[in-house]
Amino acid sequence: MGTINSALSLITGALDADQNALNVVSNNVANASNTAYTREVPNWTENQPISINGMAYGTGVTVTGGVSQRDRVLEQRLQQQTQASASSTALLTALTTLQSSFTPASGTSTSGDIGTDITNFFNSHTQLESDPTSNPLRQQILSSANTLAGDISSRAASLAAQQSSLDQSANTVIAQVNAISASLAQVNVAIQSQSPNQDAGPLEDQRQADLTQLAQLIGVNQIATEQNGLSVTTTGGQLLVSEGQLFQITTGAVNGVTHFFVGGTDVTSALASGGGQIGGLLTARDQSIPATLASLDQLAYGIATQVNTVNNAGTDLVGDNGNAGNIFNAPTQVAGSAQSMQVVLTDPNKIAAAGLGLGAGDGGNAVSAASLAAQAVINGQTPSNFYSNLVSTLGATVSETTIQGTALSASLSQLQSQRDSLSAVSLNEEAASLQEFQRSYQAASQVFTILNSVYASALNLGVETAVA
Amino acid sequence: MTMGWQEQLRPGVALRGIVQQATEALIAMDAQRLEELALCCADLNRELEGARMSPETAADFRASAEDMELLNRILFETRANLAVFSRLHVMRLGEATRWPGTERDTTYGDN
Repeated sequence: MGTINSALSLITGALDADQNALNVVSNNVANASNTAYTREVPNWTENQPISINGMAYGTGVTVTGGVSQRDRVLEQRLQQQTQASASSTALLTALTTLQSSFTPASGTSTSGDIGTDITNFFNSHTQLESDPTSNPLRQQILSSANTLAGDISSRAASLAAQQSSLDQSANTVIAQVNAISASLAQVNVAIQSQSPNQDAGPLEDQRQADLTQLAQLIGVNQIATEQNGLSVTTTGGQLLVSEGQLFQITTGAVNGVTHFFVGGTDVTSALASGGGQIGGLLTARDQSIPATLASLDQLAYGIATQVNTVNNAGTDLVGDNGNAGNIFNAPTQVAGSAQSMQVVLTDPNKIAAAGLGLGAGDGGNAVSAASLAAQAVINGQTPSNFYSNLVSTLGATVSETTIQGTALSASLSQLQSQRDSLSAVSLNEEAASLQEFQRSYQAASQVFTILNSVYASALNLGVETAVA
Repeated sequence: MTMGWQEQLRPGVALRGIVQQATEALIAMDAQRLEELALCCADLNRELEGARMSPETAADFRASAEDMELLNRILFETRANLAVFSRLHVMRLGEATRWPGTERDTTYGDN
């Protein structure tokens, strides 16, 4: 009787195990559309056999819940590439906006194009040479100077506005980082208290979802700690989360821009090179835009000082020798020259077209002004070449960043395919598992029925029965 | 299959087409298609060997420069991913050994 009882107990366990396995599959199917969910497989554990009179008897099987199918190495690589890709995308967006400031819309006039402004300005001096006393030609010089100065200063203002906008975006991203870090710390505490020695299933999914979001925003490293805990640092090594403890990133203004601090340490430049959206935003804010602005300043400084020098080296229409005055406001330093560039000369007669001490009909000094267009007066280059190099360097940077971004996105796509094949729910596979566990359940039920019948027969042993 | 690709790509050399197709295949980790494209490249090399490069071919090479750069970057990133792919491959092999006949149906990655 003991043997039949054991068999009944064993098969009851099998029915329970199959039922649990079916529950795991049902849970997978229910979460098939949940991208944050990680597929689980039933964890079958063979029960300890018992030994009777030297013989070992199996005691069946137990399903101790589901085990999430994830690979930490793959997840970490995915997060690294996510950080790099997010940084590249944010940088590319900023660079594209920056580039559009210097590219006239195709199919429209060249209005607003600084390159054309430079050419027109120096050409207007060439035209004045042919008729140095012409008022319309003098007006033309002032007009083209105004256009040039206006376009350079408005472009500089637009770069400053973009820098400020990136500064605000960086602040928003850091606020999100702090919120996600707080969530991570909470999840860490829950995982350490509930699943210190095994995969925490849905809680681990939540932690991975937080880490993925974090990787989109900022470059981080993960360090596994005891009892299934996790510490998260910036790629520069500053702790953001240590198990349940949170270290917020704080902000402060330094020279008019927002800097970021962890525990009193300025981590701004480390964040710029660390990846994530913040990396791209800070690279654009602190490197790309300042570099472009510095070039624009050099251009404005060079043109203004050279043109002013030439105008003060000739004779104007009212007879001032070597003292005609400045056409552009005189910049005192290179920095800020672009944004402050403007035309200060209002009287066209004060344009010194004649050579020093020569009569009104001379156009020698206008020739000198026009020849500046072909002289290497800005950083060893002509004004036009300097500007065109600025634009083409920007174009090359955009092209390089585009290629890098596409490559990173391709790499991410490869890794996501791998992750999906390992961790995402495949309805076909779940259907196959359902059939398998259903058959197993049916078989166990059949064994149960037979055992029941054997049990009934055994109970009836010795009872007289009518023989037909 | 190989002849099909060659016939499709041979007129006008179409190096750029090959490079773009190879990039797509590499992203999808489609080993079979990459192999076909490699054969196309081998044929292309044979055609060009010793022959004077025509202006069309030279233009095709210039037009392909950016696509080649992209392919190169993706190759670089794929190489960096290989350690992870190999690890997963070993895991899957282990799974298949423990549960014969239950190897997961993977579209990518084991090539």
